[in-house]
Amino acid sequence: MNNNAIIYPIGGGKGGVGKSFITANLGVLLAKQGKKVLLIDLDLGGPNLHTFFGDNLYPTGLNSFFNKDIQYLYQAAVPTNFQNLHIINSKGSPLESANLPHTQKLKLINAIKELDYDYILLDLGAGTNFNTLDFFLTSNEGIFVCTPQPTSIENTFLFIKTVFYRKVKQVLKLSDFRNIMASLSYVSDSSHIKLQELIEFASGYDIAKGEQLKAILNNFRFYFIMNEYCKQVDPRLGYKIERVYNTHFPAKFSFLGNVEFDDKVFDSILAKNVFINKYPYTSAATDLQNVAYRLTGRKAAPVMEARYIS
Amino acid sequence: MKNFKNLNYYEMLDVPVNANDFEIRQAYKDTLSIYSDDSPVTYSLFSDQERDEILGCVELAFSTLIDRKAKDNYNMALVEAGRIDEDSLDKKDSGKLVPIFGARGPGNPGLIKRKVNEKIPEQKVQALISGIMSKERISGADLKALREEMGIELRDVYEVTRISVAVLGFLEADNLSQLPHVSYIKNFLKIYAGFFKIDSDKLVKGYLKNINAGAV
Repeated sequence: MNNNAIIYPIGGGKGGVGKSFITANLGVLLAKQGKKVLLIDLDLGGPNLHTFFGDNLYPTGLNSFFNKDIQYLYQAAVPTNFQNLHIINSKGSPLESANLPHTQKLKLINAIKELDYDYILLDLGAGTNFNTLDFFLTSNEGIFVCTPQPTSIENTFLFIKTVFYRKVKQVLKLSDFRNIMASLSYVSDSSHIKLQELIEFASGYDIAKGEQLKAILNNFRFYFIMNEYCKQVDPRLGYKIERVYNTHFPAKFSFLGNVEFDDKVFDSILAKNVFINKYPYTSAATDLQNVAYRLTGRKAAPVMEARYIS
Repeated sequence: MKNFKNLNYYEMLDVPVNANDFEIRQAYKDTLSIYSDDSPVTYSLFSDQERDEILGCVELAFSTLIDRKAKDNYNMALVEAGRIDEDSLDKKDSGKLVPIFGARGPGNPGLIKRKVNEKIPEQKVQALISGIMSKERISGADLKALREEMGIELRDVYEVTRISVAVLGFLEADNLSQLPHVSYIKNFLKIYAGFFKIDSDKLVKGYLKNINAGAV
């Protein structure tokens, strides 16, 4: 079994920024590059990845895996209308399945890591609840989707911070973590905790652990996409955000590009067709294509270099 | 979060070490647009104190890199500390053509406003303002005195108010023949008063009284 699947969780703090939209279109584009691609809808509380592909053809899904109707997760994957592209949907999951029990979550995460594909895209839900964070941490890579709205940018920052925080918590022993937090108790609430401070403190506590932590955080590689981009917005906003992320967080961030706002997106969803397939000659489609190229390291059209136009 | 203070000045502004003055100015503008408090990029990321600290670092970085002598000293210190490679300082592009527009000053309205806000509470300035405002007639020379006391250039006023430097000059020189119609003057004075945070009604009244008296 090939365990070298590249797993890209697709997240972002705010809802409605187009995580499922990006997942669906990116999946189709990667499949068109000849890669074997699987999409998994992990937005258990509000699944709608299946809507993008037409929702009448899915006999199995995550639901069957949890119900033990099927033994292995790969059996839950069903083909789509696109060659090389499979999907595991969570349509019809029981209500309240957003609060997955811890054991089931671990079972699912381990099963995902075992799947035999070139790329696995995980469509996550909004917010920063434990399930979303743990699914995001399935891989040491990940894609954030945000829009130019300040609220979206703010929540993306929050999401990234929380992801790091969760990782730190996972690496340190619970007792160590509690001790460190107690020593940092002058900070009254955890939203003001400085990650750097936390790591420094951890290495003061246990040098090996601190170094391990630094290595793990530096090993993360994150990408982000500016969706619903419109002409009124600074075209270099994404690059500015990339610079701030790289300056102030551990880990490496790369901006994959703007995806222009297109009102035909709703249209394509209603038509139960993937946007990139229904409207391949729009600028949003070109943007998506470039994002896919950049993600796979292929040469994309040059990103607008407008350094001297301010 | 990494510590911004530990970066070297080039990293703070995100320019290569062999960047020329123009590039440094552009990079400075860019950096301010990222870290100013109304920037969509970072408004949620820092507390006021952190932001002030970062902006202070950026200011220091720019003022050092734009001053040839200070820059040379700084470069030497960096090379000695082994933080940059001496060869990378080569000015490979010194023959490159550089566009001249926008190269005159940092021209950052936010910074200029900040400077004005810092100056206003000073006693000398307050005394001058109350002196001018208590006069019945206010002349252009009064405005000039106030501006110079605060250490603000005409160009700075232009950067914020967008009243052209020439018109500002005419206002300060009471040069009625060069100034546009009085309704325009009123508006200019209102904006001017807003910039220096003085009573605009009084200023307009006093100024018009003064030029009308001169014209008669």
